[in-house]
Amino acid sequence: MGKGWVRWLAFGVLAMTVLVSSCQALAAVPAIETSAERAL
Amino acid sequence: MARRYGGIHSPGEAGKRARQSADIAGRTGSGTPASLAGRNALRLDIRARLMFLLPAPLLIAAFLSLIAGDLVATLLALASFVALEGGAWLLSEGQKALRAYEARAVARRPAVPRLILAAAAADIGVALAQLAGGGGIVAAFGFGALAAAAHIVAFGIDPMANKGIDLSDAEHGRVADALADAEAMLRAIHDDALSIPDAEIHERVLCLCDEVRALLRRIEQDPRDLPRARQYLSVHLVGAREATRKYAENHDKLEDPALRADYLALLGELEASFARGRDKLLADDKTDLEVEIEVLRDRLGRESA
Repeated sequence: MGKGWVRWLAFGVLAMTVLVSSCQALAAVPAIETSAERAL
Repeated sequence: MARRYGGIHSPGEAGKRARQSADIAGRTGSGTPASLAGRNALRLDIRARLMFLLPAPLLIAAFLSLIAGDLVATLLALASFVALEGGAWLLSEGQKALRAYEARAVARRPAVPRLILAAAAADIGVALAQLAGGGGIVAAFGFGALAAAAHIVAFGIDPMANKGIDLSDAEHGRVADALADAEAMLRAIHDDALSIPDAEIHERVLCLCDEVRALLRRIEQDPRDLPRARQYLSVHLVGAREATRKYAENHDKLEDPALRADYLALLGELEASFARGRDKLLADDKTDLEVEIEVLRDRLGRESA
């Protein structure tokens, strides 16, 4: 039971790593230009 | 055929049937049919479930990259998503295997180290997500290693050693295999019974499974009992499996109350037979002990004379 908080802490680190990496990949997607933007 | 559900306290015909069934189960030695003794509670690990959800942005990233016409980013995001989802699946399978290992006194270590492979998949998935997000090789390696280390601390690794007795020799290996086969057959019987829409049959099959598990625990405690229990595990358990499978396949088509009564009677007989088998193993142990005490008493008598 004493090690429970260490496991939860490690899970927090893992979850943040996966989530932040996934969101970075999402943020790196180039913006799609609309036809109106392209016309400008 | 739809069957009205009824417990032992229900009024009317359904309650009468359930009370009779409880009576039969009581006579066959299973105690209260609704007893939960020996059954495992369903355990859900919320952290393992979350691992399926966390990579969701990668799927959106892959989709948007595809629309934007960026093939490399699409492939990287997809590969990362597949690695992380595969890792989440390995993690949940590994936890199931770990729980089965912990629940038994005699067990082989898992053949495939799923928890370690899940950590490796998390490493690869995070590294690919970093590359898809424009991070460099160093960031990919660094965050990948961090994810793998955190995975191992959070979820642990697979058991590396056989458990209970020294399973190195063939005889003990056979015991572990026979127990694993019997457990697999019990799961199959249980799954078949769940496909039959009949609460009484579910209850009786659960009672039978409890009785068989009690016999298996007995063999775990003393693996020398396996040869004596062989006929129960091979003939009777296989018979129960076949009967349940055939009844599950045909009860809808036949709709025959006599068939249902026969099947319930068979379950009762099998349950009683397994209970007798367990008692017999205990009685044999008692006989062995009595013989040993007799021999020792004779020897002491001779030495004191």
